[in-house]
Amino acid sequence: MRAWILPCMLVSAAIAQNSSNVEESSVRVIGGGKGWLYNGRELARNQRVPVTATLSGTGATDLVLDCGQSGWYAYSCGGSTCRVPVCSSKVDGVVVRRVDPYAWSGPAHKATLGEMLHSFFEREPKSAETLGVRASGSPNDALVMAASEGIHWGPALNRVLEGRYCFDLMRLPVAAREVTQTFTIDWNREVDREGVARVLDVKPGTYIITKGRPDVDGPCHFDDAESGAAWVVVVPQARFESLSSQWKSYSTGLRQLEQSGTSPDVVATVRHAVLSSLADSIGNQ
Amino acid sequence: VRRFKQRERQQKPNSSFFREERRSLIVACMLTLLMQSLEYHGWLAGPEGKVLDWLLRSRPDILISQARSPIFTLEIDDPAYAACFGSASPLDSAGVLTLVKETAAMEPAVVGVDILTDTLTPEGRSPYQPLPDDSGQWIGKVIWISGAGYARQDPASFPGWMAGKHDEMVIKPTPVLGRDAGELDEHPEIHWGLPVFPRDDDRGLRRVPRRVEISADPEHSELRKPHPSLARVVAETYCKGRAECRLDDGSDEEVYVPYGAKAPGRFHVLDVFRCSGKGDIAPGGALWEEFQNIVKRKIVLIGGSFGSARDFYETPSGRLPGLVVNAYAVQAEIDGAGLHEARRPLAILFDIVVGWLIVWVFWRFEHLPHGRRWAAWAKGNQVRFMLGGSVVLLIAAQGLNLVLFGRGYIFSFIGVGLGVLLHQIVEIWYINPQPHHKAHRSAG
Repeated sequence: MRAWILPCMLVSAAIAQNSSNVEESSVRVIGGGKGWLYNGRELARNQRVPVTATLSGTGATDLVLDCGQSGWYAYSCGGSTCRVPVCSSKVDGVVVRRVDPYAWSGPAHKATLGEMLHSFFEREPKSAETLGVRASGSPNDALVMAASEGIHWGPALNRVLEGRYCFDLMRLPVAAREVTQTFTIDWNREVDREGVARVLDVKPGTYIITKGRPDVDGPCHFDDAESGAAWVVVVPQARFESLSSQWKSYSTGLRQLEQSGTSPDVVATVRHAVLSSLADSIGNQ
Repeated sequence: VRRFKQRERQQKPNSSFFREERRSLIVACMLTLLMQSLEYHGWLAGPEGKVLDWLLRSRPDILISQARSPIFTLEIDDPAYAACFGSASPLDSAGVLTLVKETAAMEPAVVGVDILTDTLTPEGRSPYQPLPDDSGQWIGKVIWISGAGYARQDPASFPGWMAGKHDEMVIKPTPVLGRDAGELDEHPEIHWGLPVFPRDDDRGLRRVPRRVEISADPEHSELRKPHPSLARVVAETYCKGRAECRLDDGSDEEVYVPYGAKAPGRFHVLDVFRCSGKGDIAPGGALWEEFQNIVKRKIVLIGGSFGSARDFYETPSGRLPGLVVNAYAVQAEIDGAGLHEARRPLAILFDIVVGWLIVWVFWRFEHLPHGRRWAAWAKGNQVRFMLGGSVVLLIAAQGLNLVLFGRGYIFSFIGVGLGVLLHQIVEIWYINPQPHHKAHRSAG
């Protein structure tokens, strides 16, 4: 028995080594492949290209590559044609930015003895609450319908004041390299009660939606201290009616739970569990 | 060595307590420091919160007279939210203004509006601008609220906290009736307060700050000024010229709010008003007449208790809408019944005194007089007497805590208890008593 252990360990190590080599031998295109060529052919999302490749860009869009341990790199040719060695961190005439969610975090910080001692003399700030009825309006947990004309966001915007907003949409469960999507809505109940907006690449499932404020120059600001995130389940049109009636059947019980003195966190957890089970039932069909 | 030391002590009955017990006295100080550190970092917040909740809920009778509360809440609950506001937030401004105007017309002393009015229409202006032409007749008795648009918190360091410093909070207030804080200085007819409550370490809401530091840019500007809380503004306005008020000078930064006695009278909007659509609110509900009579020269707080407002909080009286929490805070201000956290240096001194008294109890039982029958009996149960003595001391300390609580001051209950327990362990460690059976064997 013992004689097998060492060879098994060696084989396992070799397999692990090989698999990591496979990972590192190519990189994945995350987005913006339009106008970018490899071997004369346009790149597609999720396509893998060898680490030794050089890509040609026509300047139409930025290209984002998943470079494994090095993070994600975005390449912008600035309107002209350019050539980019894959995952190079510096290319002449090309703006290169690291854009993965961990880019800002840097290497893991190890606390020094002084910092550890310092923690005995400092504490974290405590939160404070404004005890008033919310007026800014945040999205609420809801089922939204994905139809051919776009997604009907209205049910998630019950509490949101009419106006122009941008929203951040993050798929659940949160994957390590999941990309969040941002979209904008001119929300006006009298014009479009359904709040239809087209958002690319949104598949049926559960998402966290956060309301932001669009700026004149384009980007979305999520600095509203009053704005809370909500859960939405994107449901295909064919299934929406049946799931919506199921969701409504839970609403009475959830409201009773809310009014029974149960803490808001617990009510939210139960509500999210219900939404998750509804989302799971989409996948089971 | 221990026996020799004991014999030496017995031979010198007038030996100095402080000289002999120097080490134990230092240990008592160290234990006090440890307990303070645990309190500072919130490790005792859970059990301490339970004790405080019980006291704040069940003992306000010692602080507050039994007269009825002059505060009435007018609540937008779920049915009213649906019938009067179309279940849409922010609440329709026309509906809110009708509610406020009609309530103010009933001649209450003050109307507090616990509804944020900071919204902007798609055109970028506030639906509350301009105010109705007749607002001059009623706006003077209305107190509006502003929320914390952005809050910066600077926790006090441990040494600073022990010296009596509090955590600092600076907020950027949200607009009131669509006007920024700076703009509001030019509108003295618009009164406003901040219903901002800090959470305790166990997430409970027990304290209300009397004043909150406000700034146009809390993150980057050092310029700031204090602004009173909603409870303070409402109480001050109500108490003008009233002898029955016991409003204090408000010198303390924050107070604990007693719950339980003098609950506010609670009305629902649909009991008092009739709603025929979104923003279409008119007087004439079933309790209109009664409400009109009962609130004359009293305080009315208008706000929301509908579920989706998420304006519910854990309090010593259970889960309450923010509106009702504000009502209790106003009541505490009117009665001067807000409980003050004991000054930290005083609390530390209290802990040290209790610790030193424990050392004295142990020392006293090591110096029992010779020749007395009770002393011989007590000597046989020395450790038990030492433990019993310090437990009696603990009970006395907690009793004193309760008396001080009755006078409006809060000391630590759990910290003192835990400190005494640890101290007993340390003292017994020093005494190192022999197990009973071993003592018998060595005697045999």
